Amino acid sequence: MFGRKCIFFTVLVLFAFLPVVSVSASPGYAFEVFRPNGTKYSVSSIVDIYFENVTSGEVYANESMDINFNFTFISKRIDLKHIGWGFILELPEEAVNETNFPNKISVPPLLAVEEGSRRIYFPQVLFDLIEGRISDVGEALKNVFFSKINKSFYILNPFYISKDVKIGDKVDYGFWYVKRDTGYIVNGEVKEKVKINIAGLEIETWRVEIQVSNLTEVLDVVSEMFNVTLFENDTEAKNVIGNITITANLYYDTKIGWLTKANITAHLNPEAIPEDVTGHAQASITLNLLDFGALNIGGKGIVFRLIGIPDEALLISDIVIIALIVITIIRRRRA
Amino acid sequence: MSFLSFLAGLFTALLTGSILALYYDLIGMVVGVAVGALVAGTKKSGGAVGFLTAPIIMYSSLIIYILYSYFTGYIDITSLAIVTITALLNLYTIIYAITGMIIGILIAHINIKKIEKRETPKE
Repeated sequence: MFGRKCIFFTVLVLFAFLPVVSVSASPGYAFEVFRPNGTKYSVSSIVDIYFENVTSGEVYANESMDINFNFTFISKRIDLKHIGWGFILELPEEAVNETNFPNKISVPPLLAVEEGSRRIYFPQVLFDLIEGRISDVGEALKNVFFSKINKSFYILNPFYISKDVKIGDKVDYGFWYVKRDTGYIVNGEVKEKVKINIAGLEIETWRVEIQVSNLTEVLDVVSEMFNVTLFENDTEAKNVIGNITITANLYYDTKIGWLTKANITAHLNPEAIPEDVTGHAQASITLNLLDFGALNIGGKGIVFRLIGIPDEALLISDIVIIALIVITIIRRRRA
Repeated sequence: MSFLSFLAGLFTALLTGSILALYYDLIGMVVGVAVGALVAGTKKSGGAVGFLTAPIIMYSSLIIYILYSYFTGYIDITSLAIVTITALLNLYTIIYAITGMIIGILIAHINIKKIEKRETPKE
């Protein structure tokens, strides 16, 4: 009789673990990429614009800007299909002093990441604000926590890719407006396997390269999607935007497909600069992973990094505790 | 079955459920609440254990990280409060709590029925 109960209990536990096994073993995404609690990045960006007239020497533009900040992901389940992502923004001292902003700004987990895909949806209240149904920010804040997920628009999550990619595979980036069946999707390409050093660990990564050369297409799509006109009569601005080339190199961990590093550069093509003007316009953004958080990158999980024991050991001891409790209760019942 | 067994149920539910929830939250909630309800013993205690622990287990990966960040000095009390309150202030928190309560009552009910069946003398 007791043996039958043990078998029943074991089968029950095995059934309970089936979803974990199916999620982690299914081709596609590692299950932990949807819950990146504590994963921290540093972001540094440089913008450099300089234009002067060749003949008169008049300087049209001379802007140079460095923006640096850190952010840490927080996440929690919203419903059975979506995980909410938020973040803690950490501003540098100079920015805090200049703007009187607090050193750390918490953005609650409101972005809805669909499990098993790379789609990020936004709360309905954001659309209500954009489309003018709610005009008061206070009212929007009141509604934000009980707001439904709007599934008519999504962006493709750049922070993870499928874990079973290979060299030459295409990875999609961009956004899509389902309601009007329009959007902008650009294909990145897995170029090579690269070893990079992060937080003292050498990690094997996939390098994904993205090239975008016609940003006017993006403008047209955004205008069509939201019924707004962007730079309609400003042909000069449209010409400049059309001549910007963006190159991005994104590095994803080969085991779970998580973004470990990103270099994004944008520059204005020299052909777009008038003959009597000399100069340049370029910008670059670099993202570096500082803390892996809950992610199992480089084969080491959060439990190992916090207390030095393998993640599996904690899971097995938990299962042993559960088994002991259940067996004790069953034996007590028999006594 | 006493208040002590209810407390023991709360503790075991949180301990066993939260560790599993680090891997998969839904499994952590179901298994944690079931074990807690078994320990709690009565339907009332089982339901209360499920009601109180289910949302905490569901959000445990966030709560553990936020508490860790607070105690290591990475975030201050305001950030801790904002994140925790906004995480719990959600319609699904109530749904998880009610689901946990139903699981707790059900498991405790099955457990009681089994005990009663054993205690009933065979004719």
